[in-house]
Amino acid sequence: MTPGLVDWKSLAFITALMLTSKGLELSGVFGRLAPRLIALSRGSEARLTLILLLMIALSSAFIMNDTAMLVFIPLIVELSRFLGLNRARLVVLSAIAANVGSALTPIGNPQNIIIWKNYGVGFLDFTLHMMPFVSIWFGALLLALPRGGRFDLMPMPPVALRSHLLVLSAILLASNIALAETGHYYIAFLLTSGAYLIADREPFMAVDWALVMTFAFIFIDFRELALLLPLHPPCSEEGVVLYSTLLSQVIGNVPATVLLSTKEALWLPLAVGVNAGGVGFITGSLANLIAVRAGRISLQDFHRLSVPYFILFVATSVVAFAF
Amino acid sequence: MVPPVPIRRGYHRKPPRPEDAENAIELVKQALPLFIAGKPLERPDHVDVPVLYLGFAIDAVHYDPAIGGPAPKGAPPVEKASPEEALESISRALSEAHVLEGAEFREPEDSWVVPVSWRGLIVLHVRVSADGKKLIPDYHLTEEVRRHGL
Repeated sequence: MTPGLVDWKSLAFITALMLTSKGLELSGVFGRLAPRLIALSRGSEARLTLILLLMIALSSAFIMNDTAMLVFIPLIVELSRFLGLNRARLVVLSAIAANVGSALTPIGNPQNIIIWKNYGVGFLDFTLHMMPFVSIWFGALLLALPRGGRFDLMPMPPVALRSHLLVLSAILLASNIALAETGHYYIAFLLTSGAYLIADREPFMAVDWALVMTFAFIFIDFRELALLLPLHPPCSEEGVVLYSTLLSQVIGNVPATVLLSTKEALWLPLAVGVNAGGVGFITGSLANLIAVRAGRISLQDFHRLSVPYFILFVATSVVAFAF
Repeated sequence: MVPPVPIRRGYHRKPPRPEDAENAIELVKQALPLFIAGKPLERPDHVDVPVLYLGFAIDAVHYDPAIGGPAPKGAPPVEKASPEEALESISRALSEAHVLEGAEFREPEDSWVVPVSWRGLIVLHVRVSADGKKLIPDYHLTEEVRRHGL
């Protein structure tokens, strides 16, 4: 039966995290931080870029990376305009930072949630295993920091914080992690939905329900495909990395995870592969698509920086597993 | 029989003060040069242009194609317009707009509303927190802009 192909537990948990990400976004916490971070840069373009990339990577580890793009790309577009920064470069680096940061924790993106659930890895265990890869990838991003550019700091009024939504969303996020660790995915969804419906309906109404449907269809399509196609991931760890990375470039990293997590692939090479596979071509992840559309940059600009980083990430990951 | 006098619940928070209103006006003066026009929103009978600050929508300005500029707040024109033209005109009008020296306090929302005018018309309302120190975005509009912008 087609509905049986949907991984309802993963879908329920992805939806719960989409709701909490929306709650954090609507709390205004990121808008509140922006003027402070700009002041911290003290007029240095390199320092501002580093601060922004760090903030995007860290946020993406705890809110979905596509939400991080929806929040930060409009901010980057405006800052580039006021401060005379290179918008295209900053947008592409931000998309890479979102993909890299979201790789760190099991809740950073849908592919990690699926792997976390299917393989039963602990939250801390997952994070500790991904940490070296994420550190190397983020370190590589620092090579692209601009050199020497300066801008005039201007006073920027802060945006009001909706503290009730921030506190509620933070509590729900922590509860969701605890519930998922003990396998209570449906309770996480019911608790999150119920809490928002009672306390503040806005995140519930604003969440992208069409995207939830899309994930359901991805499960149906690609699990069906997995049943029909005799796909056999390589036995070696570096082979799994390469295979899952290239597959992610062609069909996207969430479908690639759905397709491969039903096979006998090891979890860590698979997680590294599908996360590295989110960088590169625009097809790699939804975050790339949002960055290009919201950042109003050309595909050429995007691929000029993203593809070399993809090659670098794949090469370092394969080497790390080979030795 | 004399009907009972309706009991007003009263203002249970700190009452609004003139100095808070002055702070709110100053804050909007500081923010106005940083406001930009976002991607126009095509309504069934007119075009609105969202005004953005740090990626958040502050308010929407109605575009009036007859005058090639903003329509007054509360009077959206019933006329189709080109979104490109609306974006260009509202961007220009924002650079010519100025903050009025007065603010209205809205008790239910616990915030100040500072009007921004263009050639004598109030075209934009900017919400500021009760202490006059923080801008309050329009989150519904922000959500619409983010979805529409994609």
